Amino acid sequence: MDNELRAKIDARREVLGAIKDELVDRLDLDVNPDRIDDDVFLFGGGLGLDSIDAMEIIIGMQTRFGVVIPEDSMATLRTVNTLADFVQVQAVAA
Amino acid sequence: MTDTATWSSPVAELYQNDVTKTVRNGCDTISRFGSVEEEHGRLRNGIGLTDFSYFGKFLLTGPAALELANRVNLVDVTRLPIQKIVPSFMLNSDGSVLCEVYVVNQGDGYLLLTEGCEPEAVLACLEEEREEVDGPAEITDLTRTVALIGMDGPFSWELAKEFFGMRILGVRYLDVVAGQTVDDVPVTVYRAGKTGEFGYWLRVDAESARRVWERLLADGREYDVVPCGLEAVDLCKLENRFVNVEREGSMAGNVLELNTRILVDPEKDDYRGQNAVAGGAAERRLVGLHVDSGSEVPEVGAAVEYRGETIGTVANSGFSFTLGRTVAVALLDADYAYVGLDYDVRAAHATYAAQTVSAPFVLNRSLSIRPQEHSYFDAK
Repeated sequence: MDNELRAKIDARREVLGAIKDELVDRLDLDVNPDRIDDDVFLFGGGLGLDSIDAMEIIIGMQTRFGVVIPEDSMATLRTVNTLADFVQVQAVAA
Repeated sequence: MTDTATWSSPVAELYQNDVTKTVRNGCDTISRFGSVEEEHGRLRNGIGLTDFSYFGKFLLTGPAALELANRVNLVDVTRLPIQKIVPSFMLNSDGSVLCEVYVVNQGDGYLLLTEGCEPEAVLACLEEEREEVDGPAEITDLTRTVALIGMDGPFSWELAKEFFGMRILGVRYLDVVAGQTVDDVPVTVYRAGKTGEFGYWLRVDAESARRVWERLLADGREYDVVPCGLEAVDLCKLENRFVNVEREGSMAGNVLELNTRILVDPEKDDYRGQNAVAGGAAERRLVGLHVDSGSEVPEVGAAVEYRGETIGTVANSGFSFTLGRTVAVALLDADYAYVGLDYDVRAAHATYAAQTVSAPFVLNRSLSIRPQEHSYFDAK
């Protein structure tokens, strides 16, 4: 693996790890962050979160990363990876 | 898995001509009624009916039914409420996937709805594991005596409401509603599906399946309901990243490779395949790809490469009518299995650029539908 790819992956892993830690801490989930797959669904199956949790996630992302997720942004609030996509895009835009 | 049918779905028996049939889990069923694109379009924008009668169906009863249900699947069902469903997997002893299973707590026992292998293999697994439980457990094979009809699409709730009343709108995903009828035929409704849209599975006695199917089609005519084959459903599953056990499921050496770590309870008692998953590590992980191949679909088994080095394998692929592009899922070496990266897919006849992307591939129309506000007839 070359340094260019490694740097991208390391950056992604850092964001993913921070999001998982935030989810576990803020939502008081009884799960080790390492057990949360990047593509696990936040709602419905997967983590089984609800609409109240959605608000907490939005607050958590703003607190941790300084990004504002629109409340009706269904595409963003689907998996850990989609949250990370939003965070990384906002970081580039900033 | 065999290509030889040992039995036929009661719904499939209605159609002898002008359909394309297939064998799924040893059962003769229908892969397409006409155009896959049209059927897919109905599932994504209207209402489609699908025959899921090929599922294995096993009812576990008796004092040790819970223990047996827990032994044979990945998820702890000890606290599964009555009339609720949990999706899971049944594993082989080496941690690979035997089949997908939906465990239903009926109150009087646990119903297992299985997909991905012949029911005979599921039954053999159940009988083997029954020897390990403490107490008696009865296994009743309902595979051929019970039919399962799927009703999926962003407006499937509207047709369901006509049969089951307003209360169906409040039924949550993975809930069970017993004691319903269609044309005086007893029906149990499972709020479940594999398309990512609103969906229901209607459980009926096999001998009444054709009558219910035809009644749904007749009453669904004003909703432009069409029968949909398994090719369209499989495409929806791929777009929404539901595991296809016969594709990526069968290629995974360990169930953890399928993004299932969250399902594993480290404190769950002994279950089949536990030793292989207990460590919690997967050497590969499933990742989604956008493939820049136009309408060409790379074959399953095509190599995924980074600068000429093979880092994984395409496990499932298809042309997404929703996106207008080719998508795939690949099992990549864990060190490379991250989103936002540029790789190549080396197919049999060409090499294509590809990008790893988040699940799911599509944003479902159902997410923007509010039954209190919307109607199929407004959108028509």
